[in-house]
Amino acid sequence: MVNDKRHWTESSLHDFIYRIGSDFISQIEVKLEEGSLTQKSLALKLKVSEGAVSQVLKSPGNLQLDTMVKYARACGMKVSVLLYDDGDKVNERGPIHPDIFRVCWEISGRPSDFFALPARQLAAFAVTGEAAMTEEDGMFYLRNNRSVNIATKIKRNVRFSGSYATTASQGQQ
Amino acid sequence: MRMPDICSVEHVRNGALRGVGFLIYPSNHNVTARETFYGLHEEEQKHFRVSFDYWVDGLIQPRRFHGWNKSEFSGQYKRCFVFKQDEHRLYGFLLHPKDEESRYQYCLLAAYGWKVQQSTEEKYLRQCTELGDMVPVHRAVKNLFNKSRGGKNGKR
Repeated sequence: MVNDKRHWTESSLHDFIYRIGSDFISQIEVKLEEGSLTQKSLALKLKVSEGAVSQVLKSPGNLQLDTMVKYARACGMKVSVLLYDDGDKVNERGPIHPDIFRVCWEISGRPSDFFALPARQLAAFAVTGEAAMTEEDGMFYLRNNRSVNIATKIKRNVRFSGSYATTASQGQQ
Repeated sequence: MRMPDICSVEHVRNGALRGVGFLIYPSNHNVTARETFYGLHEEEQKHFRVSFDYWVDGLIQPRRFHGWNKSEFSGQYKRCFVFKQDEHRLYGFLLHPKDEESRYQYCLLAAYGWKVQQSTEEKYLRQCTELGDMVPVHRAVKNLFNKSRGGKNGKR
């Protein structure tokens, strides 16, 4: 039975892709609106014609990953790909715009790694299904059960004090 | 004479603080937005659906949609709103229909326009302002939100 409350992006794979592509382009357009970059200068950086840039910006359903990376880098930015679970399994609400994730990242102080995440946020944060934050004796620990890669990156239990992440050996705030 | 009615945009969610819908008013020949929208090419519709999503989510995207502030047209059209895609224009007006949530905004789309000149086609803004003042339209809005409050799932 078709769920008639489904969001339009659930109608087809292409529709979902169209929306994701639009989300990316909307971020590029904000950079263009800010005035520090024009379509002309973007085209010059990308070594393509202005018409080619215009065509990309008008075709959100046809965006390729390499194009997204090239455009992000030409804007002096980076791009990430994110999986998330908003509890909306049947997709009635549509995708969450990436700017919401970006703003949350900025509010968190632009952390570049897990050690930079404030402890109170990490306490509620599961890295993967295999590693999780636990609290013991007032200290927070990042524990890995199965993922060797996570253990390698963390190297040791991460201990937190106050609202900042520290590493046991560095002892810094 | 058939009274106006309101319908949601199919498969576009209404958020906690914003919603979008079409005015249906068969006896008013200025109300053309819904019929035109559903007659647009699929890709053109998708562009608008993305814009509706963005507005409902609170994004600011002047290339896709905007209103008019008090410094424009002497502030006559502050309630008006437009969604844009190339030369296509869907004009409507903004309402605050929920007594229990004064921040909630509903954009009721009424008129379709094809942009032929740089400046805004004021006639559409006048039409939307007039529609926004009509008692039958207000009654239709009130019916919609009273039904939503008392309905099974509270959503429309």
